[in-house]
Amino acid sequence: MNAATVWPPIRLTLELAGITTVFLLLFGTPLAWWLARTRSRLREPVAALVALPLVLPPTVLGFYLLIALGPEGPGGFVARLFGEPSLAFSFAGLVIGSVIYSLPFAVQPIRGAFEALGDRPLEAAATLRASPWDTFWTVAIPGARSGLVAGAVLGFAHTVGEFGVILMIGGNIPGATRVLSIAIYDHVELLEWETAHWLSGGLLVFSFAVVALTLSLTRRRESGGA
Amino acid sequence: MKRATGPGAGLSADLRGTVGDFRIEAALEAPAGRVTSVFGPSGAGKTTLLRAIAGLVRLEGRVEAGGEVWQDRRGAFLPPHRRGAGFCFQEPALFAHLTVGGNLAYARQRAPARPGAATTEEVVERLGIGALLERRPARLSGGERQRAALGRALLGNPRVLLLDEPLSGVHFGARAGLLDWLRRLARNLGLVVVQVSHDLGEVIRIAHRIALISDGRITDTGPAGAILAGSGTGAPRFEASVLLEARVVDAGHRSGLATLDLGGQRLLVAGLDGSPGGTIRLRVRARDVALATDRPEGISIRNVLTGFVRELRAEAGTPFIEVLVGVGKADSSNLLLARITSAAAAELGLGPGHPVYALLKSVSLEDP
Repeated sequence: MNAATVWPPIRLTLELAGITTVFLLLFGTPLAWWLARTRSRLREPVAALVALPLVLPPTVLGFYLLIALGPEGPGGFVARLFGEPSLAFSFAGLVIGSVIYSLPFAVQPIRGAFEALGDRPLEAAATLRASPWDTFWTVAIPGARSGLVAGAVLGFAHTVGEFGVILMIGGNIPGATRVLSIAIYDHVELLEWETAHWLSGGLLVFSFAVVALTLSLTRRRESGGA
Repeated sequence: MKRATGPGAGLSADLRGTVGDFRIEAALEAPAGRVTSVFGPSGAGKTTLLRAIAGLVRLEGRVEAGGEVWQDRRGAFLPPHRRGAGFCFQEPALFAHLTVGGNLAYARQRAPARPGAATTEEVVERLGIGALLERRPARLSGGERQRAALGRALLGNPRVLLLDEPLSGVHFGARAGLLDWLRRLARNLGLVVVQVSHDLGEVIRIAHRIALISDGRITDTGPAGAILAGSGTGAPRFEASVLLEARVVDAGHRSGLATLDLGGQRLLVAGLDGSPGGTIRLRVRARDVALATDRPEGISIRNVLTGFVRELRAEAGTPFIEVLVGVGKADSSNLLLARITSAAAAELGLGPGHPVYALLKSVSLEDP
């Protein structure tokens, strides 16, 4: 096993998952809030759209993303503003793809926590003269803390385990798009069983820890919530 | 600065609308410095009315408080956080992520400065929540949560305080003291207090004014005494009773019998826990009052009041009649209600202006 081939994919994966998680919270939290609170007729269609990556084959999603991020798509247009030919096969493209792909995993628990909070605390804050903005930050966010943590953990973990979408839009460029799951695939292809074992075993332990942590957080919310 | 207590400083609401499939059409006037109880059966629209006043639910109509227009018929609508009406929900909505102390501080930080407003120390002490300040709401009993929520609402320094059965979980003994304190706070701060209840004992204890509500409509409204005597037409009948305010002359700690003064006449009451000079409220049920045209002699009843018949009201379909008696002078504001048979009334020749002796078989203090 060679440290020079093992560590770059791990580092890249953690970077990707970390940045993706930040964006997931940034976009996912307001989206989850809207989904939890709105009475708009658009709610269910939007919720379905967010949940789509749960059922869509990653290759299908990856294919459409590839077109969107490629030189002919809107992603290519944006990329040209920064002097790049395309967002496909780039780290930025991976982040965009990962955010979309992992969105339901982050949004679901956050939305659930907002819904579990109910109207009462928000109404109480309003009668204490807290503006909606104030209420969001001082009541809704702290009240949904466990959901936010669960959403971040699941979003992070799901991004770490991502394969199909990344293969479609990122390819396999060492240091730029060659993440852990793809590295494992390569090692197996090259019959480097030992390295594959180490990386896979590590991911297995990591995934178990994540699921256990999320479950315990959700449990605590259910039993401790007043 | 003199605090305004005129109608302009009070609350005036005239609201109509539909919530779910419930139709509400209610007009409510609540003066500043007074406690107004909205009394009625469950499902009558009490909570909806309070929520609409606070702006938590949007009904059509007009709401004015302290000379400020909260909403009008032309569509102006101040959101709840700009109204700042203190609200105590039926199931206390404390912030679960904050301790009791944190909940109080949340209100305090957003409260407008108001001279004479209750301090955190006073509120904490009066509500007996000093030992709970470090605790999270999840670790409080129902009564403790209600007290903490009431404290939080008060520390928001509202001009209008809306209480939706705020003390239902508070221990009976503590409740009476809290209600008295609320009454005093309302008076001292010029606060509009609107309280919703289906507990008659609570209403009797706290209310200066009562609004009766049923099926989403205010059917009668007026001073507490008059409403409890059932003088309003079309009002749902309670178990008829009246409310009297009496001054404590002697608390009677030694004898166990307190002496009260009611418009110059003496009353003896057992079980009083008050100090001389204070005012207490008594409830007298109509069926506990007998009438006589001569001063009765040789009977066990100690409380005999003189007065004049004000009005006779036949109870349709029963052999009974209700007699409204002004205690002391004919134009007295202390009213008694006696439920006697029509035959007895005829025999005694009772009619308006007739002087009578009212025999009080039983007088209860505040809580029934």
